[in-house]
Amino acid sequence: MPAASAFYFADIPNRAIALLVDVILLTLVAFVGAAIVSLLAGPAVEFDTAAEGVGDAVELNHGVATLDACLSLVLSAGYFALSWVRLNASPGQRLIGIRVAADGDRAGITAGQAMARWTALGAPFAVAAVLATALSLNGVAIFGIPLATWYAVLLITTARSSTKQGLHDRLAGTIVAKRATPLPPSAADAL
Amino acid sequence: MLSDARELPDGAELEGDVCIVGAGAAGLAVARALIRTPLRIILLEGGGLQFESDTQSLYEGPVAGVPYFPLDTARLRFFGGSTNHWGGICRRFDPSDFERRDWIPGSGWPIGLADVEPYYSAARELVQLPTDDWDVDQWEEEDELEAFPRSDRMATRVSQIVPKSKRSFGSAYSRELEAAETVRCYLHANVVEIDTNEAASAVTKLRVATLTGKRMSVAARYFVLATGGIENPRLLLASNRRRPNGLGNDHDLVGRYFIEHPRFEAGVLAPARRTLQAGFYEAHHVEGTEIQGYLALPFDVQRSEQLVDVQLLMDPVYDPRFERALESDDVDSLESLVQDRGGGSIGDFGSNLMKVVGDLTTGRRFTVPGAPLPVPHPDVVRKLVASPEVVRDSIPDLLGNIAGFSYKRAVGAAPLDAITIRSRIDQAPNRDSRVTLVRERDALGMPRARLDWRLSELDRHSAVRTMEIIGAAVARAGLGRLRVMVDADDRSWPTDLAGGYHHMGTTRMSDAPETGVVDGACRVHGIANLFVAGSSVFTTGGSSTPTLTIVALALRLADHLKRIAA
Amino acid sequence: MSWSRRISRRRFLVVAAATVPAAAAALEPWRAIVAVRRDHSLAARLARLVAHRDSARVIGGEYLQMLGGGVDRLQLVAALASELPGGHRAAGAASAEELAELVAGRVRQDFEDERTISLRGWIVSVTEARLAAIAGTTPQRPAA
Repeated sequence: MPAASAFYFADIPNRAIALLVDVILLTLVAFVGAAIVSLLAGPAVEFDTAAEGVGDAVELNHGVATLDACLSLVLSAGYFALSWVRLNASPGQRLIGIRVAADGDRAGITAGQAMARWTALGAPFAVAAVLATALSLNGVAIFGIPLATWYAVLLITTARSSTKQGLHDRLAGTIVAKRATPLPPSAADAL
Repeated sequence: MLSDARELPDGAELEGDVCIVGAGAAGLAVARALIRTPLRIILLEGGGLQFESDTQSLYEGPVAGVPYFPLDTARLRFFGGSTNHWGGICRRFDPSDFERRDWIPGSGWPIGLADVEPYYSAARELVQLPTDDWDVDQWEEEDELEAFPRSDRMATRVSQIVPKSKRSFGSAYSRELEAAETVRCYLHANVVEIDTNEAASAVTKLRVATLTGKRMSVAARYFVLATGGIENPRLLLASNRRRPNGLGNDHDLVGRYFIEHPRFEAGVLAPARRTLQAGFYEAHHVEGTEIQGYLALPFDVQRSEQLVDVQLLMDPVYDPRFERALESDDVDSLESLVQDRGGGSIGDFGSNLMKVVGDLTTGRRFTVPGAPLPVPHPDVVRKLVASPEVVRDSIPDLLGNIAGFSYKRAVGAAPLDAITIRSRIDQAPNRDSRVTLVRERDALGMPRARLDWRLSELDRHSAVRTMEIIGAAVARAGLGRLRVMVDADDRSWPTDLAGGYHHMGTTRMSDAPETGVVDGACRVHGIANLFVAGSSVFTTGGSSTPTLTIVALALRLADHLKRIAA
Repeated sequence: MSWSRRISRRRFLVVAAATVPAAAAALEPWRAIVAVRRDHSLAARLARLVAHRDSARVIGGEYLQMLGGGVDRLQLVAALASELPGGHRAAGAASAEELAELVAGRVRQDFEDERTISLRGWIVSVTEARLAAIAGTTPQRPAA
């Protein structure tokens, strides 16, 4: 198929940039989500009237903060899984021109594959955030090294793979490819 | 009707239904309340309509104990009494003021707030204040300025202040009394003795003298002494024809338990930031009424710590250099003044302390939990945007070199250097603090009064402890750090300690004659027709200034007289 | 081949079995040194919370004078850290910002509990007095 030769396995720099864009967008989404939660469930951060702004006498409402963390987790799952299934790429990946496809037939991935991929890629961070917030743990101290190790593993396995499939790709049965040159519109959807 | 006793014939014998001695806050309140009754009122005032030094000198007398004002400057002897020089500060009593507190011996009135409550509104009208609002929450709602945040260890109270032109009861009510047909007011009529029957169980007449040498008498069915907390006991003690120890004094209580509200500079508050708003605690106007806030301990803290009520009055000190720099348009020094932590008011140690405290103030970002990048929480952003004081703090940085004159317009005040704190103590009843007579006589032949003012350890301890508790509360709220400048161990009192011209407790109220001079109806124990009005009946000084309560009690007495004299 | 492998494997196991307790014993002093170094490092990190060292020296000096001498920096650090939420461990693991939060929170709690002392009449939190003493006695090193 002439279109297939126009794609190659997406390399680390491209995927990193896509991920960065996604992270920024997801942060904005989480911000909006937190704002809505505050409107509905009350403020997460409470200030003493005589407080020096963001300084002294600022209290975190534990319950609402945990709600925020859970919502962030759901939003993260939704953001990635939905976009991978419906659009074959997350918004960041679309921007770079990357596609996520099923390993075998290079078609679109299933919901199950999307969830599996997210579980390996996004879940660790989101779950750690929920635990740290819910249990009032020092998140960085406890989860910092394990998370860093896990993501290092994903990074290294991706770099060392000839098909640029990291551990998360292998677990989900996915492959990520980048368009080499812009295709004429008629061939755009064929992969 | 207003006349001059000096124009009466020598030996005149006056007669009425109720005779009131003294045209001060209490006497005028009683007289005025009885105007529209069929009772014939005689009001005797020792002075004239204006200050006169020869009358005033009748008030001279020696002072012992804690240093006090000369007795002829602490009170005024002419129509209107001490309302001719009072500060106009009013607040009603709290329920706890009347209650017996077992850690304060001698506390506990025979009446409660409920007995006085019905008269506070009329009293407030009489002193010419516009509203019955005494609650700090109500005032804060209408006020631009805010009180410090309340906690279970720190409370803010509000006093209303009568405008200067309306303070003198003499100016306010002389015309009304002059026009009243049932009231005969005699000026320059000095009561020198109270005559009773043989058993000293009823007053028969009052002996009156003028400085021009005339003598007269006044007979009535009921008599009300309203000459003030030093003069009331003086008159009772000097009337010793039937009883060598004076009238109403079978248990040696007349003149004892003299209480004042001592105040002195107790400390200083170094603000955590120079834009701290303390204006609520200065006298200021809200919707046309002048009010002033002050700090005190909530009553249950007083109870758990076993303290008397101590009020903390605050005087913000603004940086004087700011105005000068503003006038000279010296922007650079304006900026540095704003950043500068602490001026001379708090001393070097205080400046150093506030620098350390400032370092510890964390600029915490509360980020959205679970967001992959750290982003401030929407609540934090909302607060930063909506909160004027935070924006005010940022202005010097935001505006950079333009800061100078824009700062004052934005903030509305010069930077706060410090807040000096005066404590005012509701002193514990002290039996040895008393008014007695001395041998020396005044121009009318009456023995002079001597004041021996005493304070107690509980008063000192309460002042220190109150400062400590409020110091912790203020720091907890992030407002700053407090320095206590009263030494708990020092046996002597600060040199700037002074009273407030409040002369209370010398004919104190109690149900039993063994513990008080007057009963709950303000009638002298053992004397059927003699009543006392004014702050001399106070059992305890109260957590507020006395005038409003003096008037309320006087109105209550008037009601009682209406009932029994009918 | 298999016989020499068996012997070397057995020797390996014997050597390993001997080494483990030796290593455990040998590590003990290292652990103590690491603990002390961690304390020092905590002292330095606490000191770094206070930028105005000269001011801290004045305040801290007054506090130490009040204690009557004989209190060294490590004792102050231990006392302060043990009272933070999560104790010594959390303090050691915290970032600079988190440590500042922990200490500020403890100062507020001090005032709430009225755990205060009087330094020349100033009502000061026990924790901030200790911190001032720590910062005042820690030499200021230029930022790395």
